[in-house]
Amino acid sequence: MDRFDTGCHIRLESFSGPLSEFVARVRRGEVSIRAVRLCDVTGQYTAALKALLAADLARAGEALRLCALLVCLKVRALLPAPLPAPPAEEDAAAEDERLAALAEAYAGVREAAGRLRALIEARSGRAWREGGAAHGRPEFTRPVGDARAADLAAAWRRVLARQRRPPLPERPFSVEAQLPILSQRLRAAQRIAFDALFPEEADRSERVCTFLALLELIRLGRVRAERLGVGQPMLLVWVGREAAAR
Amino acid sequence: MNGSLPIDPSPAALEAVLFAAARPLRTEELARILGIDPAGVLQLIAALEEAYAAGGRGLIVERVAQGYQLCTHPDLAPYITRVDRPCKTSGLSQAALEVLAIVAYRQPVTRAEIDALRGVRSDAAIASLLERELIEEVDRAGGPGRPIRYGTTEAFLVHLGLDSLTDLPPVPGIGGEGEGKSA
Repeated sequence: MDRFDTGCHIRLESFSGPLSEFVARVRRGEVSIRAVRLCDVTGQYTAALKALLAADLARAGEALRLCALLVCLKVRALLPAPLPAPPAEEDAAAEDERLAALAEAYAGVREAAGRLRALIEARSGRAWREGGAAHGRPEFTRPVGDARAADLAAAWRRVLARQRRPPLPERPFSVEAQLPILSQRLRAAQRIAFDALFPEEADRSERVCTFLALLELIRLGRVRAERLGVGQPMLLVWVGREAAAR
Repeated sequence: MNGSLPIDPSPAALEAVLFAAARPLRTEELARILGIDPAGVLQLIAALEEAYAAGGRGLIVERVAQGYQLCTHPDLAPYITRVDRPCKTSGLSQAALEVLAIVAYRQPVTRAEIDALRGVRSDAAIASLLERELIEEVDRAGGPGRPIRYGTTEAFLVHLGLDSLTDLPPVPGIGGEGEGKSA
């Protein structure tokens, strides 16, 4: 395949760089296409394509070809593979050796996990105060209710990571439009789980606008965020005028 | 409060500062806060430890994460375990512990390296550890793709009672190329 910089760069958990390089690495088997959600790639590709179409049709065409190739590779990866031929004797020995090394490494991992568990259990009978800023990095401690801004940011990161389905074509959303909708919903429910505001079918722009509207309501003192504990869902509580009057 | 300190620092002042900080404080931080030199801080720590021991108190001064913090006395564990309190390390699954072990002993490490060592995907365990702030993204690996690399946090050291990563118990076979070496 001709390596041609389409100008389309993608940023994923396992890769960050030009689309052409990503496709080349997938073809060489250096990146597992099974672990990559194509909607992540195509979402970034669509955004880049808009800019490319205006600037350079040749690059846009190349980017389109690469995405089609990526879909083809993913489909091939997901189809049942034919049964492999029985390995040659020396291959089998090498495979046994590789498996033995893997098993040994995993045994080390399990032993280390056991040591960590012992340390944790030894600490379970002790208590200390927490919540101060960690060394060398800023801590967002401004309260947004019982939760901290950092808790809200963590919940938001989870929402962004949760999108499983390919996004529908994006509809126009705005923070201004979301504000009254969100206010009404929270006022009616009084208490609502953070995750419930971001359904699976919501596209990225809807999620972003909803989240920004939520931040505005928190800033205005109409909503509080409560964290029930580590690993527990975050709860949003309406504390606007209607709630205060009750 | 600005300006000069009203009284000479005492073990009581050190105790108050450690209580207020709600995190381990390093010697140099304590020296700056108390307005004394690091050697003076160490003397105050020794005096506070002595006072706690002599008075049969429920607290001790603990050295953890390269600093000092107040901690309940280990002998009082039967009472402390009855207190309902949130803890970052409670209820960690076996998968999460394995991922935590890989990150702790081989950091910085990418998700692909973690998956390769465990033989299964570790997305949920990594997300859980990130949420509990026991691991964090430290940088991106060099070379093509630049995948995210993970490392442990200060909270990891505090919750496991370690002064630094060199205090991790030695485990043969997990350290990779840098076995025996910890940051």
